[in-house]
Amino acid sequence: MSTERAPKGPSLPFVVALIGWAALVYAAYVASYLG
Amino acid sequence: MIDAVILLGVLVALYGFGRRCLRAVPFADGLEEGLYALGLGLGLLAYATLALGVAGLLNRPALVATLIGAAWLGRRELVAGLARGRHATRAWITHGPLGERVALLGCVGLLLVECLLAMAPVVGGDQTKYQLVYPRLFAEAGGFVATPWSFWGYMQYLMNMLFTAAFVLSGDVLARFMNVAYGVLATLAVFALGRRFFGRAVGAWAALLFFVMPFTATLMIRAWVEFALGLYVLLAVHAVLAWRESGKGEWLALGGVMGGLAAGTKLMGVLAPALLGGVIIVTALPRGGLRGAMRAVVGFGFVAMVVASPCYLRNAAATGNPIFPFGYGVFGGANWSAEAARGLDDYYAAYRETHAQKRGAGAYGSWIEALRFPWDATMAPYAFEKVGRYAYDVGPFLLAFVPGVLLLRRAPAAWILAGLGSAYGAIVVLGMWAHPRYIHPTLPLFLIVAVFTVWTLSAASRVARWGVIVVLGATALLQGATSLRVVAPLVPDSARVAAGLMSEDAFLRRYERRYPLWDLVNREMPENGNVLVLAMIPHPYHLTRPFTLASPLEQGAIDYRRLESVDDLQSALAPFGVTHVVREPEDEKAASNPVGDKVTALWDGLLARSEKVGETTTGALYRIGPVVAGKGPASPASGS
Repeated sequence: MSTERAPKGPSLPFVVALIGWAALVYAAYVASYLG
Repeated sequence: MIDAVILLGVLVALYGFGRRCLRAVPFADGLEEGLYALGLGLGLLAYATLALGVAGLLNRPALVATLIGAAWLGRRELVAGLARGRHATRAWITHGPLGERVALLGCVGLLLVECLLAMAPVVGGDQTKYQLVYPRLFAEAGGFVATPWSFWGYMQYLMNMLFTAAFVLSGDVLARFMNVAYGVLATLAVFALGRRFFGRAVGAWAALLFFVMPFTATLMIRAWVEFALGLYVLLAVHAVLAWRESGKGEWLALGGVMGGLAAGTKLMGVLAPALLGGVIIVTALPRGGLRGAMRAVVGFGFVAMVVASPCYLRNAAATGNPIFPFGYGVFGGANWSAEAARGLDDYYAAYRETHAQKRGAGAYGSWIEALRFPWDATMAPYAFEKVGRYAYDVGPFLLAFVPGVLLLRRAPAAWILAGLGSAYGAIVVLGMWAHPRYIHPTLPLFLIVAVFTVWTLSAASRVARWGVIVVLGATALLQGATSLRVVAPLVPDSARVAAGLMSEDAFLRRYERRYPLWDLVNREMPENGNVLVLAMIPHPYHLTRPFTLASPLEQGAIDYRRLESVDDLQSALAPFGVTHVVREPEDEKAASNPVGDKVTALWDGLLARSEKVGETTTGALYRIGPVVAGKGPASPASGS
C-alpha cells in the first residue's frame, strides 16, 4: 500500500449521486444486453 | 502442445536474462520483478528478431542461439528467481487469500478455453489481413521482404517481430500463444500496480475484472498487439509511480524503458511516455525546481526515445518515413502519396459512418458528439467495426464507477491514473479514431481507479463493504458469462481439431469464407507463380503461394488514379511478375472506394482478358497473359 495518507471520502449527497449514476448505467447496460 | 513447451522455454530464458539486466532496480517483490524481467526480455527478443531480419539471418539456428545466449547470461538469476517463485507460489497456495485462489481457478478455466481457440486454425480479426501475414512471409524468406504493394508489410513493430520470431521457431499457434502470454502478463501487471499503490484487494479485483472482460477474451484468441501495448503502458505507469513514491532514479529509468517499449509496440503507444512526461514534470517541480524537473523529464524521454527507436529507424530505412504510412505530409514515403493517404482517410470515414448506424446514429462529427464515446462503447460496442455483439464489450463497471474518482480527495495516485487514462483516451477519440481497441491501454488504468473508488467509499460501514463486494462479484460473473458467450461458438470445432476429430481444412471451410478460394490457388497455381489479389481490404493469410495485393487503399505502387485502361494496369503490374489473378470475396460495401468505379472496371477488364483455371463457390482463379508475366515473384530483400 502506498505510504500516502488514506483518501478522504466525500459527503453523503455525492455518494448517493454516484450510486444513482451507477444504477442508471447498470440498468441501461442490462437493457442493451437483453435487447 | 509443443508450442506451449516452446513458449515456456522462451519465457524462462528471457526471464533470467531480463532479471540480470534489472539487478539495479529495487523491486518490492518477485512478482513485480518477474513482470519487468519478462516484459524487457520479450522486448529485447523482438529487437533481436528485427536485427536478424535486417541482416537476412532470420532463421531458426540464429534465433535459438540468441535465446540460448540469453539463458546462459541470465542462468544464475534464472535459477535463483525460479526458486524464489516456487517458494512464493507454494506459500500463496497454502496461505493466500481464499478469494484470490477461487478467482484464479475461474480464470485458469477461461484461459484454457482461450488457449484451445488459439490453437485452432487462424480465422478472423486482423491476423489474416496483416498481423500474421507478413511475419510468416519474413520468416519463410529468412529476412525482410519488400512489399511495395501493401503498407501493412511495414508494420514491423515490437509485437510484429515477436510474431515473426514465433513463425521462425514454430508457427501461427506459437504466435498466438505469445499474444496470450502478454494477456496473462498484462493481467498480472494490473494486480501488481493495484496492489502496490492502492491495496491488495483493489489489485485483485481489478485484475479479475480485466481478465474476465469479454473484450479481453476477444483479444486472447487471435493475434493482436493490444496486450503488449497494455502491458508496457502499465509497467511504465507503475515505474513512474514507484519513482514518485521512492525518489529512486532506477525506477524513472525503468519507466523510460517501458515507455519506450510501449512506443515501439504501436505508433499510438508514443502517447504513453509523452503523457508520463507530464506526470514527471508535475512531480519533480516542487522537489527539484525547474532544473530538476527538466533533468528528470529529459532523461526519461531520452531513454524512452532510444528504446523505441529501432522499429522507427527500420521503417525510415525501408520507406523513408519512420511512421509510414502515416505522416506522409511531413516525412513522405515510398509507394504512397498524399492522394492515397486522403483516399484511405475518406474510406475509413465512410466505414465509421456505416458502422455507427448500427447504434442508430452517425459517426462523431464534432468533439461534443465524441463525448458520447464512453457511453456508446459501453452500450453498443458492436457499432465501431464488423464484430460480434459482445466481442468488444467492456461491461458497465467502468462507466458506472470511474466518475467516482471525482469524489475522492487525497488520492493523487488514483488521480494520476484517471488523468493518464482520460488524456490518452481523449487524444485518441478526439484526434485519431474513436474505437474501443485504440483506447484499450486506458481500460486497466480505469479499472484500478474504479475499483479503488468503490473500495474507498465502502470503507464507511460493513454493509457498504459487503454491498461493494456483491457488485464486484456480480459484475465479474456477468462479464465471465459474456466472455464464455464470445468464445463458445468456436469451442466445439476447436476441440475437435485439437483431438484430431476434425481436419484443419474442414474447420477453415466452415469458418473462413475466403479459404476455399485460397485453397484453390494453393492447389492449382505453380510454386513459382505469383497471384494478384483484387480486393479493397485483402486478407491473404491462407495463401501459401507468392502473392501481390492490388488494393487501391493500402498501397500506391499501383496507382489507379493514373491508370486509364487495362493496358495501363497491366503495365503497372509488370514489375511484380504476377502470373495469376483472383478476385477476393468481400463484404457488402462497408464504405465506398475513394478512387471510384474505375478500379472495379479495370479489375473486370483484367479478368475478362484472363483464362479461367478453376472455380469455387467463392471465386475463380485466372491465368493472366504474358504481357504481365515474366519477371518472377518479389524476392527476399533484406534491409530494403
